[in-house]
Amino acid sequence: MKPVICGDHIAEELYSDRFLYKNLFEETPDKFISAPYILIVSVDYHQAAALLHQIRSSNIPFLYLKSVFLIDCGIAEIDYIKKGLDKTFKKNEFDENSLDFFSHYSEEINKKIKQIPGSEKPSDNNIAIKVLRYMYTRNSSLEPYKSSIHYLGYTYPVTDFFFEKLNNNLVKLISFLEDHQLISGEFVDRIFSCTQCNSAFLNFREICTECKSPNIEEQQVIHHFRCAYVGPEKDFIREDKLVCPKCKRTLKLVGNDYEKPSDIYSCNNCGNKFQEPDIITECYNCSKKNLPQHLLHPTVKSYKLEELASSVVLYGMNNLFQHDIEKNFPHIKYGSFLKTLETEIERIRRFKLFKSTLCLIKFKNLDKIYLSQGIKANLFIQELSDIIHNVLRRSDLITLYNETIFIILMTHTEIKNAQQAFTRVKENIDKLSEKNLSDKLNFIKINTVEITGVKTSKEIMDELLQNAFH
Amino acid sequence: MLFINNFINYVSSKTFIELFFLLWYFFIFDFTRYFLSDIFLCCYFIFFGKKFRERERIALKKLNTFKPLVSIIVPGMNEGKHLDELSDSLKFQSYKNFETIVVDDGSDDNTNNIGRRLEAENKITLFLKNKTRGGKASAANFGLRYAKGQFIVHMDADTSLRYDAIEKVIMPFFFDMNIGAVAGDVRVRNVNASIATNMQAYEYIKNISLGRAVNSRLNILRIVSGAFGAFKTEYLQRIGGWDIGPGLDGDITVKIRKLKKRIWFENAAVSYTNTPDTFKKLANQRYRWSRSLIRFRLRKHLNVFNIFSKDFNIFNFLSFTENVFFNVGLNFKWWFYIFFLLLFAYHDVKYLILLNYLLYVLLNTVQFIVCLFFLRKTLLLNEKLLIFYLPLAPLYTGIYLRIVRTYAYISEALFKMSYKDKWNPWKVSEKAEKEKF
Ligand SMILES: [Zn+2]
Ligand SMILES: [Zn+2]
Ligand SMILES: [Zn+2]
Repeated sequence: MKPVICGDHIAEELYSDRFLYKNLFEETPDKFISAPYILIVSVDYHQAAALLHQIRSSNIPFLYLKSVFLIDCGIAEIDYIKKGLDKTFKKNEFDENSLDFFSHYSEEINKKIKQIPGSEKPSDNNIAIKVLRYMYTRNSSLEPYKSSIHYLGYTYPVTDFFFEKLNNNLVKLISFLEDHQLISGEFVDRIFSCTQCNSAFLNFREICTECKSPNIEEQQVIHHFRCAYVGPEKDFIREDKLVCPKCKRTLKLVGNDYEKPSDIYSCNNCGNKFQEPDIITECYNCSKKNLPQHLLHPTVKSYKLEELASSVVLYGMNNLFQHDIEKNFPHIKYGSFLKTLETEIERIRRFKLFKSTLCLIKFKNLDKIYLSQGIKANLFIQELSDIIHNVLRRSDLITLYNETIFIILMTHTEIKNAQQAFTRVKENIDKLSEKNLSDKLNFIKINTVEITGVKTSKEIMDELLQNAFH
Repeated sequence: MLFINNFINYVSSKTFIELFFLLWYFFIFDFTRYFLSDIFLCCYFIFFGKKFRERERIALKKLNTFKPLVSIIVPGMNEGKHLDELSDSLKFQSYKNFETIVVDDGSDDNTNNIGRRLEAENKITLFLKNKTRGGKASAANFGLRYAKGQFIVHMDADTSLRYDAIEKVIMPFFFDMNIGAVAGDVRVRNVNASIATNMQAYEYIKNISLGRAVNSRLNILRIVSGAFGAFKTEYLQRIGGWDIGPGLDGDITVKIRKLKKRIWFENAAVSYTNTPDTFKKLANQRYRWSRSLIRFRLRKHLNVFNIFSKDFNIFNFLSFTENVFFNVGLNFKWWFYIFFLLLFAYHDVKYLILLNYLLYVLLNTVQFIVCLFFLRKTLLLNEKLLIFYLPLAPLYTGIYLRIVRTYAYISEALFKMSYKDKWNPWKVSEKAEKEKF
């Protein structure tokens, strides 16, 4: 397979024998997917950026992670786009050696891409995973880049080309990755930003302490030594001289017969006098006004991948989590569970011989615990499963309401006994978390409802789920 | 015992004329001055008491109808530590329509932070900061320049006010349109801190609460204490505010008197101030005060004594004369008296000193009883109990203060030391000396 070259027509003329000349705007992507790397040749930033964006916004790992090189024929914003690419050469630096470099470099990257299951098929288009995968395959970090076109005041050039629009949700993306301990940051800078939109472009405005008008005027205050008169400069101005309004002397030399010990503001709107104006900031992006002390004051960091990220890179986030839970918890589908429940209610109503109990177990923050435990998480979930299965009998049924809520039908069991059983479950889980996680995590919530044959399945389920969500 | 017998024999052997001759200082000066003023005060209240209570009632009614804005100016340096307490105490004043302007005269401590915080919390209206120190007069003038009130209350940051002090210090302006300034009563807050403060508490009651009340009624009051006093803003502006200190309290009062306005002392407007708690610190404070007396009475406002001047005013003349006479003149006459005793009655000097002492204790006691009656509404218990310290008072007023004052007057007269006093920044003192203030 030949690498793809795209961009200006000049590219075709120069390299058409070694490359496949393609333009993403016109062609289907299969040629790009199978190419070992892509080389952009361009004189125009917008063209180069558009091509790169086309590649990165694909949902096929083998395409969006592809090595992309650039031959710069005089691009204006080269510093920025360079950081979103694998390697850039100036046109005059480019030679045979460069081509060798491309092949070797892309070979390494492609090996890593192939570790991802289904990397040639369309998959999960989650930007978080795409960024993690990019960092993983390049073994690179995210470096902040000061920028006036990004309203955050900085950006990570690598991530930009994954987004639909510039700076769309960059803050959310970074905090998501950081909160889940997939990346870790190191201090680079600190900025002030808008509480509403995170923009760093703020107008710091001095305003009147009373009426908040920005129409204020600063005056120097003059102290005349010999008579102790103190007042604003305007009290002293007589045509082209300064004359003391109290003793009528002409002021001669600052520091000798008078001094300027302070400044004072006066408001042209309400006449208020003050020495320290209030300061308010207005966001250039969304016009939100803030007091400086209320502004966001985030740290700008450079990020590197955490160990935990590698499993997410390979299997995807949801995939991984659900996969483990389903594997470790033998259960029936929620739909069939509901049918069984109705049959059970009907049986109890008809025979009135026994009662059954429905139990709910909710794991709070299980995903976070999972992510923070890395490889150990799998073992942890197995143990959880064992603890729960220990109290169940063969006739009991278990289903997953969602990833964190488990519902169990305990047939022929009075509520009192069910509660006892689950107190034991809770105790054991506490012990487990104490032993395996560094601190005891109170993350389990249990709820029980008795089935007496009076309520319908819907009423029972509603009652059970009532408190489960907070 | 023998001494006491001898003493009694000695006294009883003398005729009244002889005693008067030997004790002329007591009889001519202190007895006359204080005893007559007590008599005056008693008569005054016996005859006019009811009329005054009625006048006060009407003035308070007017004050609370018009509710004029009062600007409280608090100049000072490194006074941040007092500002929280000050703003809290102002919050509970019975009179509410006031603004507080704190002027920070180049503090080098955390005053600025405290002031700005209180300003932001709206506990003081305006906090004015001078980056460099300009002296107390300039700080007060800075406040005055931005004051919006019809009346100005000048007070120190460490002065605390009785709950009704603002109301009572403004009230007299409604007695008489011609009143230009009202002096508040200043008492000692740390009464029981030491013997030095006990003595000062007594001295303040005697000289300020009683003495100034008398002077005010005689229309010869010459000082509105910077610790707590009120002015009509209009008049302050007309005279250009305060001039360079020290002694600016007295100075501004003279300038208001020169506008032919009355100065009133209001006993009901009570403030408390901390006083030096050792005799050494007290001496330093008094050196400053005494020197400024010489400087302002005798140098700057000498024209008060010029009976040919068109500004001549008999009350100003009397006020000055009284002040200079009792403070400066008497001080030196007292030394002369001591000299006289040694010369004419060398052998009996121990009896005469004891006799003098007893007479002073007696006079002070009578006077204090007048105070107890006259100030009965505002005296606190610890102030009333000062009566037990009266036997010590002559040592304090008669000996300690006289020595301090004499030293101060001589050094001021000879070396103009107040120009070199640390109290004013050097740049200002230098100007003052050049201009012969
Ligand atoms: Zn001047
Ligand atoms: Zn304003
Ligand atoms: Zn904004």
